[in-house]
Amino acid sequence: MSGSTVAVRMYNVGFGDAFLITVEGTAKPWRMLIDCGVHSQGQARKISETVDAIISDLAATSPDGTPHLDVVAATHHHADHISGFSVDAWQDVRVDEVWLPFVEDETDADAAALRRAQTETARRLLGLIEARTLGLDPGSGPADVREAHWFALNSFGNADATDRLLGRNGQHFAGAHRVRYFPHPDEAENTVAVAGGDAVVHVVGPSRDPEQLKRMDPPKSAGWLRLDLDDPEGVEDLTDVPLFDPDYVVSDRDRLPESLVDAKRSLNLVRVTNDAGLLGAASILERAVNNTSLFMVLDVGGTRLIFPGDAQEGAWQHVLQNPAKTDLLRDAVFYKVGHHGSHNATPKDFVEKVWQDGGYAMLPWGLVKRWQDAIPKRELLAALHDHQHTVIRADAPQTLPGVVTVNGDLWSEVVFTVNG
Amino acid sequence: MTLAGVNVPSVPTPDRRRLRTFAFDPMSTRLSGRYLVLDVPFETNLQPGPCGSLLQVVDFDATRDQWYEPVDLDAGAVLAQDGLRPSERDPRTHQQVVYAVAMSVIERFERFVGRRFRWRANHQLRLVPHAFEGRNAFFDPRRRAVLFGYYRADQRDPGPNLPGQVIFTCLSSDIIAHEITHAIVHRLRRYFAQATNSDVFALHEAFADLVALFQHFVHRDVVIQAVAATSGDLRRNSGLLDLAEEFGRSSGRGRALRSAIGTERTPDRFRRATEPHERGACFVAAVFDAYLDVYQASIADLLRIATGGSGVLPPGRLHPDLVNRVADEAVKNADRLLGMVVRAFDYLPVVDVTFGDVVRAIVTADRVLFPDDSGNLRGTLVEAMRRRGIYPPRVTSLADAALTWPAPEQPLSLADPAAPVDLQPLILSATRDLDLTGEAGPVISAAPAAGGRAGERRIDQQVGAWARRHAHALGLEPSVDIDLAGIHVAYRQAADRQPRPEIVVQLTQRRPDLEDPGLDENKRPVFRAGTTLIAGVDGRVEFVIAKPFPFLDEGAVAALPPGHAAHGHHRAGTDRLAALRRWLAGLEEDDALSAWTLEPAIDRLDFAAMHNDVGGEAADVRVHRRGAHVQRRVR
Repeated sequence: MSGSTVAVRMYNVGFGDAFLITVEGTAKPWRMLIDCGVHSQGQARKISETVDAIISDLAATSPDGTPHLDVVAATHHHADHISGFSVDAWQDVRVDEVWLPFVEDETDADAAALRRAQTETARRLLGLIEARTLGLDPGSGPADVREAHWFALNSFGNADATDRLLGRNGQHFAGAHRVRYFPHPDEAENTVAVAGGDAVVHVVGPSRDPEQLKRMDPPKSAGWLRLDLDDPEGVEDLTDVPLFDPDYVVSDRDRLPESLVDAKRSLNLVRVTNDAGLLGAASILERAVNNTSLFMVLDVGGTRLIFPGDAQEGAWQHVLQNPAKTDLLRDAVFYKVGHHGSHNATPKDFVEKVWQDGGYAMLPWGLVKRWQDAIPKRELLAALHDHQHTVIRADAPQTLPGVVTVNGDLWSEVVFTVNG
Repeated sequence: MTLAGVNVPSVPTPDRRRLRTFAFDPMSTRLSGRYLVLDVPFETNLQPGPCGSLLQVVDFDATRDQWYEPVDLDAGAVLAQDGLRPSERDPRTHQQVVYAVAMSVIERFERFVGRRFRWRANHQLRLVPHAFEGRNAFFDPRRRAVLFGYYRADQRDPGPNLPGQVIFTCLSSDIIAHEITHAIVHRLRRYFAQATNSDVFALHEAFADLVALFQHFVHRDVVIQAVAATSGDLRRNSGLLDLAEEFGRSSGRGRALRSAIGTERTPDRFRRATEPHERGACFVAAVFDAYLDVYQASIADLLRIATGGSGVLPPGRLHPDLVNRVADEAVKNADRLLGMVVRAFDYLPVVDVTFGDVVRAIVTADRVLFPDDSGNLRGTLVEAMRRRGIYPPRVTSLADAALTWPAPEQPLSLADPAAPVDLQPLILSATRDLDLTGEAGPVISAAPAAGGRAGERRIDQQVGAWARRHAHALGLEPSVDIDLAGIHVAYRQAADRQPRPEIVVQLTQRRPDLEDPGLDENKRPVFRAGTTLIAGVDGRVEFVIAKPFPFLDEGAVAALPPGHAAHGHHRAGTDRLAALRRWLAGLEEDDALSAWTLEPAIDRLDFAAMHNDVGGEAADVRVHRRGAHVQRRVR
């Protein structure tokens, strides 16, 4: 396998992920696309433009001009990872296999219940948010409500994309494809030989451990309001119901003692809202879905690349607490920075103690004003820098001769040569 | 006006006002047909609202933008019938109920702590009975208000309520008592609003719950009925012990804080617990264990007398006389036990409190007044705590002497001639406050605005100068500003029936040098040291209760004599600093929003978040973000 290469091309979608991996060795080139989506608030360009770019890149490298992918891996069902699959142009792409986290498996009863709970919670949240903004566009509501709305949408509105990945409801790639769910209950199935045996993919997460599954549970309440999925009545609202007989309502406010009127003014009761509760719940849902992420290590003759999806702290611990899995991470040459570089998505221990110095990291990131101070986390970038890693940012492509190629602001690509 | 018109014999103002409430919420009143009458101090000049000197009920419904008719409790017809008959349909009775229960809780509190209660700067606490729609009621320190929500009962599992019926949290005596206690605790220890370890909010919750729970024993009639119904074994009566009955049932959920009452007395649960409600539940259970023990012990002789010496009751009802005597014991012991816990408040640290600190505060405060512990009340409580795993770390034994807070290593006095604190105005004011027929004393607060006589240094300046001089002994950094967070005089009644005057001083100090330098000074978690001092009226400091941080100049500390308190403070401070940093990092890890914002997770922990789904399993959404309207950190 000496002389093989592995290339990672990061498309600049904005705040989202789209990575094309190509292994070239003894067999014919093997291509895997990991995610293709963008967040509604942070698009560098229309996602369909990225899809077109990916497809024409695939066509250009295909012997017969037909775009083809060996594997499409959708790490988790957030819009910023899969929204691109709703684009119809995918109908012309041949895909052999689609890999999904096990929670997407509808034949797995536990997984299906979890997946349904996540989607239903998103739906309930959207309902509560709509009630909060009285049916007006939440996009122009208070900042917390707006952000809660983004989170809920990110977890909710991806039906077309999901349908294509599963090949159902009229959505498909060119021809049929095989769907595989990981991790498989049989541990041996989670190490998958690919590229004609030149490479192996280790699926190290998510965990199926019941303790870990709790980290994928959606919230059950949003502050003062419940997100009870079993309640057939749905969201109850008393806003239009009078609490008391009209006789008790003060008609002439001039009669009220002045001290009461003063107190009411200073209390600012109109601002007693549950917005914090909505946002808290929405962020828990966001994290729950992140924790369903496929966490993969691609191993090409000992050259290892880490793709953690958006696994957050708890999901990472499952990997870091397993010595065999941790060993796969140590001498990796490449790390796809988890969750756009946010706090809790790249454990300190991983950077400080596990991953050896001098690697490459790709950061998929686009500007969302609300998050620009917090994401990417400054401390993370500083730590990566301190450990002599080269950080390649989607939003600031920079050529590095012999290693990193860029194509305008469309994509950046890093190529590793395998020393067998 | 004619002379005859003026010259009529005056009617003395009543001392007490009687007001009807539910027992203890509309649901249980409907089931039992019973209303309760609360006996609260008669405030002269009570305005419609009600608006009194401590409380102001503001019944404005912001959702519907309307006021509900404020009740006038001084109206003749209202006075003549012990207040209006409580009704879910009449908002004026809602106002009456929140006022009555809140006043009753405050009065009880005053009795235990031995001084007149006032809110900060003599403001009123505002009670808003219909503040929002939601399963919540919470104390909001920024608004100086308790906000009560209302909601529809569960459609599928409403308990004995109608499905979809509107439930008012402001009609539950337990919820009112609970929230008022939060406000009182906040008045006494404002930095307990910052959750600097897992016990701080747990303690807030546990105190609030205990006060609400023991508030049931104010109603002798209810106790008599409970004793009769259970033949004296109060463990068998749930109605008396259950909190927020209606709220818990209508929301189709369990009741987190009382979940440990009556469970097996083992330390495992407390040791495992990290979540505030869970830890609070263990504390509540331990106090209740102690109550039941003390109560059973106190009625043992009565039962023996009633049974010809065997102590074994025959089947059937108790004799009404016996019921009366047993109920007396139940009420008296509830008062004694709650009193013991509440009295400990002045002996708590200013910041970063733990349950271990509470045990030490209880023992110290009680020992000052009852050195002999002749009823073995203190011993019973300490033992009950121990069995549930609640005791201070690193104490050598659970004997009184080992649990008492340390006295100063070297004599320390507020009357130090080099930087004296003039205590006289303070003592005079507190004394005048206790004279109900005279005029109240002037407010002498820690706030810089409240000055003394012209040309005199204000009390906060005096205390500040004194504290800087003794900073090492107090566990405070000498080179950083020291603030006076509170100073007051309390008169407590001791075993010999004499009042024991006591001065309580709270000192705090922010340590920016230890905070995260990567974050804006106004937006990062505040690191605050604090020291409570208990002193005699002559200024002699009896106890130093410190929550220190390490000193800046280690050399200066090392140069102090080996027995100096600074060495211990420095060690304890180093440990505390490490623990606080671990705690803050853990909060960030747990909070799903930490990924998205630089705002510290600790700022998203507040009373509103604590109380989401009061009485329910709030734990599933542990950390909520504070409302967007909060731009300024007021803690």
